[in-house]
Amino acid sequence: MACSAGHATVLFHNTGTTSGWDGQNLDPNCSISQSTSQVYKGTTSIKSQVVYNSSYTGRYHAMESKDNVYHPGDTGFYGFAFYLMNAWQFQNQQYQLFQFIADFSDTGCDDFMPSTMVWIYGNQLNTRRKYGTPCAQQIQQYSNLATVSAGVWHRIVIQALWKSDSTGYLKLWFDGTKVTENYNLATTVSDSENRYFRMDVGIYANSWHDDGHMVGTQGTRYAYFDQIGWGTTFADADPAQW
Amino acid sequence: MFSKSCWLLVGWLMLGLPANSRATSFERRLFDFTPVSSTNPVVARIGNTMEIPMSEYRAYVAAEKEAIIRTNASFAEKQAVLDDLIGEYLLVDDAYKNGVDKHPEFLRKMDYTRTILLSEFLTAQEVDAKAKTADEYHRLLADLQNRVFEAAEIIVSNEAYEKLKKAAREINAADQTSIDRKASMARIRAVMESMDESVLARYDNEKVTVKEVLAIYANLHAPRPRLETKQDLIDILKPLVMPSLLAAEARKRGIENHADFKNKIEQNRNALLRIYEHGRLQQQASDGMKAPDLSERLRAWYEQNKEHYAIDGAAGSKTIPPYSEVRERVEGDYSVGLWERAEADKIRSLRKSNQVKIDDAVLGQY
Repeated sequence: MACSAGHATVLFHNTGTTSGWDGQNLDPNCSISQSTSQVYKGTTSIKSQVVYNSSYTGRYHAMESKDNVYHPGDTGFYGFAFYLMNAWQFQNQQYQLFQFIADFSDTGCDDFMPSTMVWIYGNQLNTRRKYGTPCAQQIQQYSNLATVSAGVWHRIVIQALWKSDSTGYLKLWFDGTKVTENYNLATTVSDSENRYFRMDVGIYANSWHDDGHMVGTQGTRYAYFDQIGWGTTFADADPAQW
Repeated sequence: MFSKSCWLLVGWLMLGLPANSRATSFERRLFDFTPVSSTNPVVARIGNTMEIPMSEYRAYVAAEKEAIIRTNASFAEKQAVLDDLIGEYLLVDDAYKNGVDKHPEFLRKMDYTRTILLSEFLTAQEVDAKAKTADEYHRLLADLQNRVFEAAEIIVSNEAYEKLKKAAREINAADQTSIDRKASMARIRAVMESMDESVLARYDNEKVTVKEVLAIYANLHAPRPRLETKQDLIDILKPLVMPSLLAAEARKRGIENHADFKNKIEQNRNALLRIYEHGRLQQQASDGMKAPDLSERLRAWYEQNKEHYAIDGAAGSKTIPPYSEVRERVEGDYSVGLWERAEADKIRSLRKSNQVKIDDAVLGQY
């Protein structure tokens, strides 16, 4: 995973296929499929679907996973395109679209712990940084960064310097517009193991589990994801470019 | 003579009409489709054909600038945001002028979009608008999908189905017999690549090839469903054909003629053209990252911007790390800078060749 500085390096590109990933973060009542019904580029996209079941108490992940994407000290750009179904009911619950996550079971304080996530709440786009330690996690949210419309493709690009001291940064572009940039801060938890976080892309309807219910009536929700990229320059990650 | 003049006059009127109707149409809108009115005045005009009303400006702020612009923004701040929006309009306009919307690849993308939007508009009408609970939502959705599937005439080729079954068996065998994942993937890829273009199913002037089904099937995680029975086949075909079947039903109901559907198509076309233009500019930035003297350029960038990399120390002191320590960050920041400069240069050039009129009074009122 070493990057040669001074030369743009594509570290991962997925053109909307269910192959080429390291795994899936897939719960019951959820599905991921390769779709030819809607595409951002090329001929396929990834359809991520979650179906609410009131008698189910587990989580709702429908995400593809790429392992070993960052660990503390790394810098990189991470991007994807997404399309929410046109009739998406914008409710006051969280729907994650993207997350970095690692297994901290060995610390005895957490298990799979997400760090930075990107989600919608209502129609607002949000992200966050997680810092501190696995046993004393702290979170800062960056809320209401953009208004997301359904039934049209959007692009997200994140640029981060992953540091557990106050020298990191986190930036996010939405549809080519930089909507947040934050410097001189911790962007990940300190970790004596310096373990890698993996990158998950797809829907994770975390509020359905965390709130114990679903708001609204739209129990079947889907979104398409396409052109997921990771690299050392903006263009490596922005779905508009490649 | 009289009749010739008459024809000329009619011809002139006909040529004039589209220009006038374009001036008040929604065809370049990116965010909002509220008609221009006394309560929604035009805040900017670009050339003779593009108008940006206040509703579009507000929607742009909400979509992309809310986190940046203050609620009580100064006039100069509002003007800067409006300039950004005008820039996006100019980029989209440039894509139209270059015929990007006529490229076969772009037209194919719009076909996908039209089909999925038709299916979603119908679902919204038949399911979202009627469901009172999540359970009812699921029931209405299943009813709608079953209804259109059962009503459809789907003709399956027995020969192609046999080819599909055989290929599916080979794919599953590759998983079971291969020692490692790479070998298994290679065998699966070989099975798919050797498949011909046989049509498995035909319906409503559409077709599904064995290859298309296999592309989905191969990407399912093992153990994959069997494809040996009619029900197995229906289960894998149904989601594949559903958007087209729903779209066909939506067309029958005239949804294509609904104003909100037409606006959604315009919005998608313009959004995709905007993405295309951003991509083109980023390509320039990417080319810049391949410059033979990139190392020197990166170092020069660092020298010009090194305060940006300063680290806060004790008692308010600042330390600037050496280039070698921040080289990766410099590379990333430099790549963003190249793109931002390419975009700014392009928009500056487009503004020179397009007359832009801003109504300061309208902008000031917001």
